[in-house]
Amino acid sequence: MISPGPKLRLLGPSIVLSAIAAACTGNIGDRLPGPGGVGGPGPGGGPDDKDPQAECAGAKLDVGASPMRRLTRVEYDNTVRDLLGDLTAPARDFAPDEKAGGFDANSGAAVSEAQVEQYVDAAEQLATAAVADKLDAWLDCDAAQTGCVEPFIVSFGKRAFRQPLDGETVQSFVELYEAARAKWDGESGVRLVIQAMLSSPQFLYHLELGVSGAEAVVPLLPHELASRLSYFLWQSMPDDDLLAAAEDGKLDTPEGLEAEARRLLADDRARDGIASFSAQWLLLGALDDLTKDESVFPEWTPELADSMRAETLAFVQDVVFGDDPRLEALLSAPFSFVDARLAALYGVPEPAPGKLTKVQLDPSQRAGILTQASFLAGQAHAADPSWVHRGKFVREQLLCQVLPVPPADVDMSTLQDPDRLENPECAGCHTLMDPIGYGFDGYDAIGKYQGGAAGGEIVGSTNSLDVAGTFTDPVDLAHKLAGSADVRDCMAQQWVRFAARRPLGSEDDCSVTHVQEQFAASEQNLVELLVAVAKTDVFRYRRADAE
Amino acid sequence: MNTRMPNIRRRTLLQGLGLGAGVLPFLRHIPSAAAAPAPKRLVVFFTPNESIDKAHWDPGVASGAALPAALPTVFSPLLPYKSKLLMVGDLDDKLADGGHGGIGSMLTGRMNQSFGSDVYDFWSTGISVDQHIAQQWGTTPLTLGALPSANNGGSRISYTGPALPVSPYEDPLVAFEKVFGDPDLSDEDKAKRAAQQAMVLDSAALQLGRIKGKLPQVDAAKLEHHLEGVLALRAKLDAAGATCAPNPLVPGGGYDYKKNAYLPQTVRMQIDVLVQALACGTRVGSLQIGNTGASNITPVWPSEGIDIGITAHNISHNYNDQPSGADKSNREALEIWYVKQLAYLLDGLASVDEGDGTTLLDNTVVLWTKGFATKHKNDPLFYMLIGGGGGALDGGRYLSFPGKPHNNLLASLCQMMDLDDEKFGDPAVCTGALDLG
Repeated sequence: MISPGPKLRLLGPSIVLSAIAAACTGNIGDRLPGPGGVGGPGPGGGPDDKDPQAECAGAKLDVGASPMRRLTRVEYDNTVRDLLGDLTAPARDFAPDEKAGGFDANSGAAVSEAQVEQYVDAAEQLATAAVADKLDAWLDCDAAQTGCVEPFIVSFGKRAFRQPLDGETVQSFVELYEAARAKWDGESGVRLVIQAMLSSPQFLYHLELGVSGAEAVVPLLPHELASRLSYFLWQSMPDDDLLAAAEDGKLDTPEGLEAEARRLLADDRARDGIASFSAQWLLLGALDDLTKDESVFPEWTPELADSMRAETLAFVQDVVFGDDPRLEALLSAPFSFVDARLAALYGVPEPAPGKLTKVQLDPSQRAGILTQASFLAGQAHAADPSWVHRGKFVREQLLCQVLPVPPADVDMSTLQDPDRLENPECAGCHTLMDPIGYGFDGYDAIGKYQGGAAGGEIVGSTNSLDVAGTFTDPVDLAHKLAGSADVRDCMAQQWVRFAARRPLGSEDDCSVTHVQEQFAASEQNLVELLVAVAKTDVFRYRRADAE
Repeated sequence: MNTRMPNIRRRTLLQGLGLGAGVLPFLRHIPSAAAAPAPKRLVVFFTPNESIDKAHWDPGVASGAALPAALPTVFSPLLPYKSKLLMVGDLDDKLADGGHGGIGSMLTGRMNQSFGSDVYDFWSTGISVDQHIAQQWGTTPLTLGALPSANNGGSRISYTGPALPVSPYEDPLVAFEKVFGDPDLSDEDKAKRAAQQAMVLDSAALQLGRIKGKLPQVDAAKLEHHLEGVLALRAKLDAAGATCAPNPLVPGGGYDYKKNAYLPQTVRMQIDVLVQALACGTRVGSLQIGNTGASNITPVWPSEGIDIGITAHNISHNYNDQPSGADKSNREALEIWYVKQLAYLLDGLASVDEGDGTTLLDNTVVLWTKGFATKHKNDPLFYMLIGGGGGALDGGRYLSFPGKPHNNLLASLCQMMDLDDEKFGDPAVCTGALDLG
């Protein structure tokens, strides 16, 4: 195991620290919480009778560019589930998603040939299964008649493309159907139409063609907004009611949009949205096929990792869809969900077999997500904890500070090296991470509580955080974070990023600030946060002058 | 018409690996599709993390001298191929940043996009040497991966252009089917399927073309690349497929290409696909094991003779931290395991008789590469070129090029493959091909 870093105590004098910390923060890519920054603990930090929109009043409507995105793997699988009733989740075998702004976005690199092939192959499998299972349910007429199939193309096409097809597009699929029917039969024609639609850009991409004109920032078209809303809250396609709401102009006002947002949030599919956000925000992907050192952790199994992931998702869903959906609960609640495997790890009585059971944990050892095994095991090495990973998580995921990669050509030879807090080449960033991670050493690399850690520190910088300072243990830290305006503002920023699936820029300041104020005013109510995000300019508008 | 009899020398395959027969499928009876004279082939073989320190790879002879009787310990599995082995040391990747900002420069010789608020994925800004050579030859490269994991600049080595990473086939069973067709379909069903796929691809091309015109340029360009992929697949339907009768892959029970536990099996099945493809018309291929960081690989493979419950990433760091004892033996053991996989590839290439008195290995250059040098440095880099290169590669030697840009090696590869590139990658960095003579 690692030896405690005696040199940690050599931190300081503080004036030196702030200088090197600034050297690191100077490279930070996204905006920092802090005075003057978007995430700053400025107005909105407490009860406030100001008009929440006052910050933006009079400002020019502005939002950052939103590059076209492909469906993520989760979005693809949920969409074919809702479109076709297909539960095979074929996208699990697709190339992984590309991230932007901390979340899966698929907005950067174009697809390579093998990815196109994956789409075409999945479309073939999905269409074949769909026609075998559902043709009779979809068509109550003769599949060999164009008059029967054309209405199907119109109605199915609208759902598959998430907007009505124009006449030319309908015609192109009718022609495909007729060509296939002439060569094989009507059923083959229908199958190939489905296969072709699933291979089309209107299905595979979030297309926002929008209103064009002289304005730099334009509102989304109603169907585009419907898609944004359903993919934000459900990670899936709009249902028929949402498409109808778009067509009826109900999404044109913030009030109408809010009504649909609340309807979607009351649907079970909203659990998918919360799960997808949580899995990405809390870096649960780290648990995939995670290996631990067998000689240290003989109890480690892939199933234990699965339980950890399931625990955290169940916990977040319980908070968000429970009676008290506040960020504070996520960060500091003393309960969680365990199965037999986790019960052993947490040292609580074994629950009834079969499913996760809500239990109270020892509040002196456990408080919210930061003391859950998914974080502690995921952000650790195979045998040892990781100061860097755990500290970086707190900085990036909870405080929205993005740390740069290590500079070129530095000697990176030692993993838990206290010297890197003194070496000026390393200390700028590691001072921001290691003293936090060090405070978690009372939890081993699979999240078991061992005790005995010496406490940690969130080292402040020129952009001072309201949580800066020392903490005695992660439970202490969790409660400090739970009361932090900086963490609260970061959470709002994370949800805006998740909704927009892109990094945020200065053009988005007004929207982000507005959402942060709404979130503060609602006393950190996460459901209200999601509604506020859906109503904000970043969500309802796009830049039309992007090159 | 192919009149040559296939001639696979089975005995070469598993010897030297210490693996029992029956663990892996033999390559048998691959009719080489090569026309006389056999064409040149290129293979890139990537293993993760950094090069081991120079003390471990330095063959201990002067630049230009013949390799010593015994190779450095970690390369001992390559002893049977010593005469075909050119070790190249001391190059410098002047475009990289020590492995944290993507490994795209490794094969592109171009900068990676920087980390920042707009770009998080470190994509390289140029075409990679394997894709370049394939394009110049007008052939389709076979790009394979074994647990490349994510989709970012640290997990992609091949590019068709700036920020155009190539996704490798990760599942050997899929790769096999893409090269040789679905073994379960009759010829009639194959023809029907191809005709139907052609209709679907034509439809996709039509929709892409129409939508593209309505988008801003940056988005339209992405659909244009998507369209290129569609058209490439469409062209394949019309082209004559591979006519070889390959050995089917035989994965073990419970096989899952996404799992670390099956990585050794994935690597060797991918090599089986690659060798058979190269024997059957493919001219450029690559296999990427893991990714630059390889935190997703943990060599707990007792049946392989290696059982270390530490990630490949940390094995590398631990050794640098403490180059002795278990940290040292772990590092060496993992490196030897990688080299054994390379030897398995070479065994496969050497087992294919091209019918003109040469083997596939005689006509191939295998480039062994890692992302960066020991301790996250950009130099001294270490590479190996293995094979005959159709007469272009003169092995059995060590060459040292202190401080020279690694671009120069990429330019040399192009020239070995009969292209006339004088430089490769960033022309401001590349100073011309290395003298490998």
